[in-house]
Amino acid sequence: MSRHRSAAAAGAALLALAGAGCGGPSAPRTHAVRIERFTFQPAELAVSPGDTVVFTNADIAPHTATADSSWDSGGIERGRSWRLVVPASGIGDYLCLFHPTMTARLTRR
Amino acid sequence: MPRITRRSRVLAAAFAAPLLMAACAKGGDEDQAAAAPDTTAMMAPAPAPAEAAAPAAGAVTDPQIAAIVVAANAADSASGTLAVGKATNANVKAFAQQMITDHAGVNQQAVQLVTRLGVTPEDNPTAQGLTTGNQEARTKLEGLSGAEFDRAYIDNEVTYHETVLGAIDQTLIPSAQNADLKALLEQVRPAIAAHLDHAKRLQTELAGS
Repeated sequence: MSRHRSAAAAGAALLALAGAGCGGPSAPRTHAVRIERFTFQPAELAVSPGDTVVFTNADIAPHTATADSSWDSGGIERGRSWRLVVPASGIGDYLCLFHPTMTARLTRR
Repeated sequence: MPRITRRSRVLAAAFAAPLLMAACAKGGDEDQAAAAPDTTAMMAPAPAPAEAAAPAAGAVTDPQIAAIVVAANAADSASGTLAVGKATNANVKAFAQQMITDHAGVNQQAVQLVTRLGVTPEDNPTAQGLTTGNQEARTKLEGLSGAEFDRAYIDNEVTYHETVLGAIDQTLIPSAQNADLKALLEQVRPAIAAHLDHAKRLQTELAGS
């Protein structure tokens, strides 16, 4: 095995590690939830604390995205978005306060 | 406990009208122009002329569907306005306010669409029946008060939304010729279904109180 090949292999390993770091579980991510047809899509989303979730209301009526005492968007008008930085205590079920049959869930990734 | 009557069938048809009501209620849409850029695409389908396609037997035309939507929207908004003033249960009052808000949203969409398509709503027996049925229901509700009013209002809402959902599925969506009108009806359907589920939940809640 040549010294060249060893160096190339080491470099590739470092690059792989760096790549894993960018997309790894510890790096904050941004996710999208679309509110449409009186549903949250996706209905279940895997997040970590510190991630950002952008809720966009593409529906015909105003909605909220509300978790019990942890976070609450308030009313999101049609065509508007609201951004949540997920708090450590904020992973779990949430609903629309205006239409309580609309429910969804954040799970831990 | 809801009783399925001719009146409720008429009411149901009226409920579909929230869509068309938009044709009567212009304005108040400035905020939409400021919508987030990533969400505006959904609002801008290319203009398409309404076609005067021959409806199937027993079907309704697009202008008639528009009139039905307007009538249905107006009917439930009127019931909601009455209930916001008369309901004593906080959840019932909040539901009534939500009906007004949601129908306003549907109205905006419907007005925009009808204007863009150049469709003039055409009065028809279904639309008239919705309006008349709702007037009769409101007259009865006006004579009630307290918990009795709350229960009667929610019972009416359950029946009405069931009827409207049936009309959307069985008549309005299958009959709609214009693709954008059909798409609007399909977008409104989940709202009606959610309202129905919400009303049923309140109905159960009131029965246990």
